[in-house]
Amino acid sequence: MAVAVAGGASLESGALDAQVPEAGAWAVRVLDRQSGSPLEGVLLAFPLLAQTRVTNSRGLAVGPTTDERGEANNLQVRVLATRLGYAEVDTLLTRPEPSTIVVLRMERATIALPPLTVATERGLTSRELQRLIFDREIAIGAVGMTQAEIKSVPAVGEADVFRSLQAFAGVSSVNDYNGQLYTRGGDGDQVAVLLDGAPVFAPYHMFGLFGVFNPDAIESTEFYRGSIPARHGGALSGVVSARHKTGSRQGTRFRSGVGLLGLRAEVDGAAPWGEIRWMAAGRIASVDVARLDIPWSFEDVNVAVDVHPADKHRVRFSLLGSNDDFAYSYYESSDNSLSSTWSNLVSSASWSWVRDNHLTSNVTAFFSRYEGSIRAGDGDAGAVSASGISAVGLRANVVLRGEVTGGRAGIVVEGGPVDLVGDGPGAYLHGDLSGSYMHLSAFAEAERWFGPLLVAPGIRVSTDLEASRTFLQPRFSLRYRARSLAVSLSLDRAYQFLSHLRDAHAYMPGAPMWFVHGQDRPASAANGASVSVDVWRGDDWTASATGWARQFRDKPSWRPIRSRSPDFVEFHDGTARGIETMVRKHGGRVRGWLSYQWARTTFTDNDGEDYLPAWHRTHEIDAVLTADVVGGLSASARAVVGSGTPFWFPLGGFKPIRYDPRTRMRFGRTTVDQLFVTSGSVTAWSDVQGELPAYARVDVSLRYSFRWGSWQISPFVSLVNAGGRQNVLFYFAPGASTDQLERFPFGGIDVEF
Amino acid sequence: MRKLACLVAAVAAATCGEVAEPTFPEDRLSNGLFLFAPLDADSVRHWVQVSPLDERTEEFAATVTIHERASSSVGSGWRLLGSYSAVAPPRGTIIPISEQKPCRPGPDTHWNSLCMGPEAVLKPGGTYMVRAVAEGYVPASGVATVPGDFEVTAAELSSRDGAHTIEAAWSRADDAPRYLLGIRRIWIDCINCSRAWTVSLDSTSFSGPVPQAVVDSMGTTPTVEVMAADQHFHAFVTSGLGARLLTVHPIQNVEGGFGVVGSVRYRTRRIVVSGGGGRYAGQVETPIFSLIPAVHSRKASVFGTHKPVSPRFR
Repeated sequence: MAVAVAGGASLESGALDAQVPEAGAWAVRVLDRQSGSPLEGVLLAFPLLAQTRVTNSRGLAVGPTTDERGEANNLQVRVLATRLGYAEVDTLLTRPEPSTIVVLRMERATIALPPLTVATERGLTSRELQRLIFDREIAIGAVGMTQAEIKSVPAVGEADVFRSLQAFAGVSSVNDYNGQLYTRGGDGDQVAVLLDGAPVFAPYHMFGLFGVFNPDAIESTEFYRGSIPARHGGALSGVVSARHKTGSRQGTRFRSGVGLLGLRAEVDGAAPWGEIRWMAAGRIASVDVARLDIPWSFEDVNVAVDVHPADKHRVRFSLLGSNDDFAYSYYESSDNSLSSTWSNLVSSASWSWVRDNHLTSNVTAFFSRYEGSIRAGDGDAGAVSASGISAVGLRANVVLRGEVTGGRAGIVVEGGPVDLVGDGPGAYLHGDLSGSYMHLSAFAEAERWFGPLLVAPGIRVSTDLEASRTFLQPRFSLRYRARSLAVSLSLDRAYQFLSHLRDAHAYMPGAPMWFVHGQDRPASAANGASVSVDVWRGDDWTASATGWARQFRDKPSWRPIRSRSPDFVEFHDGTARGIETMVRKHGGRVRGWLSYQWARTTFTDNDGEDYLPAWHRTHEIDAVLTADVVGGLSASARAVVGSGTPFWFPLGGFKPIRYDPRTRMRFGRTTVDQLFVTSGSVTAWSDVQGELPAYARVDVSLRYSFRWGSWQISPFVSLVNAGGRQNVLFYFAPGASTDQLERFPFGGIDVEF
Repeated sequence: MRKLACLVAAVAAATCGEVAEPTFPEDRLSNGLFLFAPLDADSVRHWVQVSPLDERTEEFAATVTIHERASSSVGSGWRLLGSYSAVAPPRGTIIPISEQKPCRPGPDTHWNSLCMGPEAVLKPGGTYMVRAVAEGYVPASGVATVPGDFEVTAAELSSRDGAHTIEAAWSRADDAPRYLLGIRRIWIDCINCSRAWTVSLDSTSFSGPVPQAVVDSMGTTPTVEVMAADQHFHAFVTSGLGARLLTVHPIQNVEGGFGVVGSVRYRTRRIVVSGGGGRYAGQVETPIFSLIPAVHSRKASVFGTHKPVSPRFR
């Protein structure tokens, strides 16, 4: 057996034992160089074959026999072996003979905090991605989803990152029309959304029915629930960090899909010269779904380019543009209409430098512009409330690796104008909440192993340069790892400076209305503690149980009654606590997860009255199931059963009155002058809360995939709210309600070649 | 497998089941009143609408009182000027048109609202409180300042090449921070089909274009109307969006309830039409109702209503 040796690893050959399932296959066994013990969880990437493997508890993984295109004739196989705490091995093998085992020895090395890289993530399975994030992120609640998982979760119209993340424990939604992630007692605007390091301020299409991320253009998504590493700031309850994918050198690939809700396309590949990989994608929809009663249109475009100008350097450019527009008219008259538009332009350029195995660095410059408006009443002449952010920023960090310690440090500067203006009486907002922000933050994360105990303190210091105030945000995590069990503890404090202005009484679809907590308004803060136990069994099964408690300070709340003035914005304190459990099966013909959460979130208003926020849900069970039925046929289902969310009991309603001078004949021949007309009713809310009826919904989907030449074709059908349950959206009068999504089917077809 | 089947069955049962409506704690909900009181600065009688927010089926009785802020020489407090009590029939009662009161919203008896006419002599610049009391409801009240007198001094419509321009001017009314200028139109049959042309101004003159549809609906006696109101009333009638899902409350000043207490004074003036070439000049479309009084009443403020129809998309 010819071998190559690199990076301190050694290769040997031996007889294939019974651990290798397929006759004729070859395998890799990875051992600790010093102790000789097998290493579990080593990620083996075969870049030339676009395949990955993870070693099992005996350090074994089956080697690839062919690549995805059936190109089995390569004489050499490149393998990259990575595992936290060991030096990476990057070497070439002469393709081993069948039924042999290649032994690869790895040396202990620094504890690294590497960023996820395109090379290592491509083609990762659910379990591999979860293991990678678990090994890298000590923060409790960090999860990842692969593209395949995102697409396997039944969704309304489009496979969706956010709707898929909602199915995890610790995350709730308030209704079918709102895709925001309400995480561990926090409001939806407390989850920051990043794309290649740049903030996305309106990450939703169609007032939140689904997210702005095209699933074909996103390689992977990381989601931090509650406990956030020090490198992230500006959000109290979570961070969604998504990465664009780029193509491979194995040719240009094209994906497209058409369905009830629109058309999407994605193409990726590599330039024939140099190390340039690229991806471009877009979606467009213009739909009036009768069951939704609201016509809307949207489009988005994604572009990503990776360039490797030199051996240790990589440059990435990323762009997302999106636009949404909908108009709704409740009455024939135009003075009862609502229209809203919003758009994102998000771009970033990053440069990564890997000096050696001990030092890497990354610098990202970004720009994110958001513009949104809500026009209420009077049709085109209605009063407009508009919000806009133009944020620019620079993020730089250095990752240091030592023998048993590691660390990351960096700085972030971000700022720009944040406009929120209502142009007059009748606007959603009557006033001006405009401001600007400029924040300078420095952060540091460290890790040190003490035997099986990993200690990871972190700190983030943010200075609000506009308001001349500084915030200290300590983060601390601890993890004890046994063979198949880990116990983790996290303590954290976070601050938030940007919030949505939203009427807490009633849900208003449309563009998010951002405002900045300027000098005269306090920053929102959250202190949290969480404990988690993670166990896993083999490569397929994982389970976790987490308990958490959080304290909120100065969370904005707006309950306008007699005026839409921003003067009615109050800042409330609150507490939240909860328990969440999750069992997940990552592989096999039937896979998915089942999660349950219990939570209790309360806030106190300025009068000292306790209340439940709109996103509070005491119990919630989420189940996602995907099954490979037969051949290329797969079925998936998602079920949600939860207790109702709070609402304010309506007292009834009244009709706004408008000035409309006219002459009318009444009482026979008598004519009279009339000055006013009434229009549709508005709901008057009480200060007494109730709980909506329990929420339950099942979505099911069937997908059949087959090959036609070089084409992969996958038609699918889905049924939303298959049970037809009439979940209540809100009550506008005693006993009179508006329902959420009814049962409706849709279908489409995905094509790839 | 059996466990999985049981789980699926349980989820299916939960997601197909009927929703259990919450019990409304009526004993804890404070019943509110809607009060719409545009005190007419030119009249002794003031048409005030009082409605319960809930849709009760039993009789609804209420009393409205008008109070004047006592001068400092008399002492602080409010002096009662007038009151009016009435009982509304149960909701759904068909009220003959001949019995409809001026501020009832037409033949639409959607609510058992009361139209009441308390009397009080108002002084320009005076401050007045309107209070509504009904058994079983939280009293509602609001305060208004009466605007001063004013006159419309000019109103001219010029048409050229199919484009129309209105020029109007009026004198300033004290305690009226803004004005609403409108062109009176004839209600033919579908008031919902077009939007009234009104402009909100803080100046005492206006010159600007007028859409053709507005000109077409002016009738044979084109008239401008200028309404001077206190800040609360002006804000109320120019704000709000009523459509259940998309509720935006109008700007209100009623304590204990909802609605507005304001004071209003309005003036009209016949429009002088000049120029040629426009559709209006010399080719007036005859409205269905042509019995327009030469001098419009300055006293009555009467309500119409929009009739709900099916949702419409655009």
